[in-house]
Amino acid sequence: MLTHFLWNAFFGFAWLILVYTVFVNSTYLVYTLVAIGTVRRHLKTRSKERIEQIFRSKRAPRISVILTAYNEGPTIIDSVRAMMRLLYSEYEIVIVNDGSEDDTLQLMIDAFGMERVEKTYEETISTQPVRGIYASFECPLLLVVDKENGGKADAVNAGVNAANHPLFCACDADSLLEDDALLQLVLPMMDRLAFVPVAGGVVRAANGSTVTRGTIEKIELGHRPIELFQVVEYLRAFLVGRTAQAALNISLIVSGAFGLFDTETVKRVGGYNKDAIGEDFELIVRITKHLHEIRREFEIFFVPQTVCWTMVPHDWKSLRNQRERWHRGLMQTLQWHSHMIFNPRYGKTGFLGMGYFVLIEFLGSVVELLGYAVFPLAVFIHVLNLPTALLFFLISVFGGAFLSLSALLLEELSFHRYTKWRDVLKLALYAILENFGYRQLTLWWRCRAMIDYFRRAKHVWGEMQRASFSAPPP
Amino acid sequence: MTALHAAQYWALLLALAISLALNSLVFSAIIVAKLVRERRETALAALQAQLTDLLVSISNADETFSVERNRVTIGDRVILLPPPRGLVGSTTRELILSFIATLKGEGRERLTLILESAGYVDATIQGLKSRSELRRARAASILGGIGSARALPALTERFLLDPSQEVRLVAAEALAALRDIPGIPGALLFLEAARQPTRYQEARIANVMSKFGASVVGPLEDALSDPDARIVNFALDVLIEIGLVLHPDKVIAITKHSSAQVRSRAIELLGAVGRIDAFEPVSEAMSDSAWFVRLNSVKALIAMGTPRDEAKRARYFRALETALHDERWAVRRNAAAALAAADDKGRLILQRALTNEGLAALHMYYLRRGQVVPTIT
Repeated sequence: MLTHFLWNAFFGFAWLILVYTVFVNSTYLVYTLVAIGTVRRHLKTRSKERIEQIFRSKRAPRISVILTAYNEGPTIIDSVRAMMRLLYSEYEIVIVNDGSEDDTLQLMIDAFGMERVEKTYEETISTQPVRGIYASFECPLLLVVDKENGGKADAVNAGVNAANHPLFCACDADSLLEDDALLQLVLPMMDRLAFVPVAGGVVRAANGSTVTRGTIEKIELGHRPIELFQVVEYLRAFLVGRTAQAALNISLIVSGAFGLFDTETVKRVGGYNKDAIGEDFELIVRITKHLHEIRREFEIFFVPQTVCWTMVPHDWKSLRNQRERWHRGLMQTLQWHSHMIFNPRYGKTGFLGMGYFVLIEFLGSVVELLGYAVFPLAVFIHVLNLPTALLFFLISVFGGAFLSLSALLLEELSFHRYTKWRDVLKLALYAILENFGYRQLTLWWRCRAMIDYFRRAKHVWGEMQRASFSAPPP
Repeated sequence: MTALHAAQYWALLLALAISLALNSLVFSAIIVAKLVRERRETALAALQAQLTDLLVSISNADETFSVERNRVTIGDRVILLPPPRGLVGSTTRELILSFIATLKGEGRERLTLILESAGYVDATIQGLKSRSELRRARAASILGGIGSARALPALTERFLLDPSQEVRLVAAEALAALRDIPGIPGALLFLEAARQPTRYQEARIANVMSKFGASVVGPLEDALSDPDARIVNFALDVLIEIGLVLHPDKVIAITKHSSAQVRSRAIELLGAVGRIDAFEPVSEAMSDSAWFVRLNSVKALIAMGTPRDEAKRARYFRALETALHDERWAVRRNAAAALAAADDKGRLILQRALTNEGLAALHMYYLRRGQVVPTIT
């Protein structure tokens, strides 16, 4: 009797997982098809001439590029130099030194001849006290806000307060933008009839690439498996996921490392929330919520051909910290804005946007973990035979590999940044290999983050080993 | 139970087979895409090398030149251009186009003639009739780049009749590039701007209109009295780009407009055209409530230069001295730059004022650098 009940329970659960897998993979398949169509359309319409027109136009809105820096001594000068090379008619660079304990501020003062000035600083969004504002008479487009440490969100908020222009681009100091990044991002903001409060671009791993004076000279892959797994992940997440979500107008994430925002809207919603773990996700959710509530038509735009290069974690501990933080951030934002989930008041954002994060990003890790726990148990108590369990596993592996390979195909058909045969084949190999160990490891971290979050464990950022662009990681 | 088990097993096996097949398919597609790309790049590099040689020779006016259909003779060399269709044709056209943009005079005319003779212009004109909006816009843009008068009727038709605003706009840009637009009055283009364009389209319309120069200044000045601030701003932008005002009183009138954006642009325009008779409203704008109007006022004063008239001179320096104590740093900084650039009186005012603690950084800077005066946005 008990065996029969167990058999039925396991059998039902196995099919539930299979149905869920089909649902998830179908969603991703739809995303892939939408992304392919969107990228092709982008490539056709966003010609070089259009970008040049924006560059020449005096009507292009001015932009403040906000760079936050906390102990970024090894990369800060390269990052600022890269920002100064951006192609845009009128922009300023606001660097926020978030109470660095290293020589970040002094390095900037020395390199760019900065001097302390009495500049008006309106604290529209409350931040930690500002210690001083520095301007460079040699490079008039530079401005440094030196403030007490308050975290990334607080630093960006200080940058938003100091920004003089109607749009701001938030970037990390350890990231490099491509020369035409601002032109590419501003185009949708100028060329849509609907209001575009935020536009984001692709973030890619710079590990292994050659960087000279803040510019990517040669794009290559890193050597470590951990870096290669992340290259595949970023391709899948940005080229497919973000592109499709933006095309369906259900986008809720613009990476904190690279996004162009309407300054007034961000100020109106109170800027980044300092208590948010995933502050970039939370801000976009709050912006969309606000715009739905005031019934303003809007689009969160994603530009797949604009790239921000960043050094991704090259050691397992840093990666674990990052992933756990991301997942805690996801859960916190979903909890804070739970009233939006499947709420018709928030239209597609509530149903498809928030729905995706609940059903796939959040529930996905629970179901997958249960799958890994239940299937071996089912085999052990002879409810399921080994070949059937193995088949389940292989279907899930090759389903995942198919999505990663599709992202790689999209990359090859459109942007083909990785020109060497060796690199393309390596990425294809890692698209399959990531399903044997790496995927399970990141799943375990997400589940740990979930347990920590429910236990209300104190959130710590954890030490993050950063590599300089100039030198390869040790 | 066994039968169910078997069905389940076979269903899973089938699912696995399908996913394996899909993976193989995608992997093969990656390989094929890469192979095709590499082959195409090699072929295009060879074509580019051949064409570059031709294009360099063409720009040399000393070489004898003749063209008959796709047969181009330069000196004693004969080159056969590929037909205007397909990948090779479009690459040839793109290469010649990129070269045309760098040429003037006879070299440019020769290239236009080659494209006309070899059928490239006609093929592109055909593209204007495409069902696809993207293709029509692309064809109009290419024809603007080629600069062939043969395309004028077709482009004019697209500009006036195309159902797509984007195509109409690209056709207008192409016509403006041809600089021979007898059939298109500037006012028509201006009306185009009022049809709810995006900001990007508005920028392009402004760019097209600025190419009409003096002929559109009148209608633009009339638009300054439009009740819609967006239209007024647009007109001001184009006038700033053209750098010409025929009736300054119309511009002066809107320095008191309710929109700060309009006031700021009006002051900028008065500075840009350097009308000394606009000195009064420009210096009055120094007390405007919006900081960017005050900033533009300082910049306009810099652009106008120090007046010769003693009374105006006194008011000029007084206005800049007031700006030196403005609550906004950008205004203070530009006022200091203006005073440092002026004569001894200006520098004296600057020296005196810079003892103020809040201006210490400016003080140090100008004392150290003397008269190096950047204008800061």
